Amino acid sequence: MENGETVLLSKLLDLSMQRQQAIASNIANANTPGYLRQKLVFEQTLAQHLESRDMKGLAAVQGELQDDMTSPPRADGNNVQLGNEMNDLVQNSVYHQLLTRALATKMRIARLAMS
Amino acid sequence: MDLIPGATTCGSGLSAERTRMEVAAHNLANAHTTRTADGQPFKRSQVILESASMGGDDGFESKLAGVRVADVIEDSRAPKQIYAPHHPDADGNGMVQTPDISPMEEMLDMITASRSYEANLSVLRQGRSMAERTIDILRQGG
Repeated sequence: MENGETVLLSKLLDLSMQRQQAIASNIANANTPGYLRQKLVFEQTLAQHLESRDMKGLAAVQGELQDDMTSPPRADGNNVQLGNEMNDLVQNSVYHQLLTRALATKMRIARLAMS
Repeated sequence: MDLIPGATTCGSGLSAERTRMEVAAHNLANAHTTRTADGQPFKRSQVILESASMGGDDGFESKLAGVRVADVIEDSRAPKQIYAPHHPDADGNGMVQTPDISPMEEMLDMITASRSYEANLSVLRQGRSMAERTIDILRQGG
């Protein structure tokens, strides 16, 4: 069971949970003066471990929070745009749904093979 | 870690927005109050929000910020003077001091607070369905 795909799927599931927390933080702070949008960064480290087929490293990948300066801050120094966050929220949810379905399918296949 | 991702953060957002709504209602209700406990006209309250760590134990969660009400302060605006010589609180010139509260401003605050409250609620809902789906992996696959 502990093959590369399962490790990758569960790591992605984990990261999408972390992204959900980052979005929750951004939305909770949508009216906090001086708050900067936090984004979750992991793509590069994930890609490196995938390329070198390093499953142990892959399982240990952690998302990192960074200030996102892509949208300019408002007068109160806050740069969260509620609309964009809601969009991210929905996308992340659908992505998570996709991952759970993939993982469940893998497990079902394994069960079929065993029975 | 929360079982529902972001639940603590959403909770902090919900309670902060609730406070904003309550303070706006408090301001609106007292828009014409000329007499408070200290004999002065009512002063508009204002909520100050600040981001605060939600105190997770691992590195990632301790960096996530929730929001909390840092303080509810009195607005520094001077009271409005209205000419009403028969009012019991009028001074020698017939002027009454009333709070300088703009209903538009308070309504705007209430609308933004209510929209943000809804946004926090939908994060909580999405988080819950994520947790449910994760638990369901075992049911569908196992």
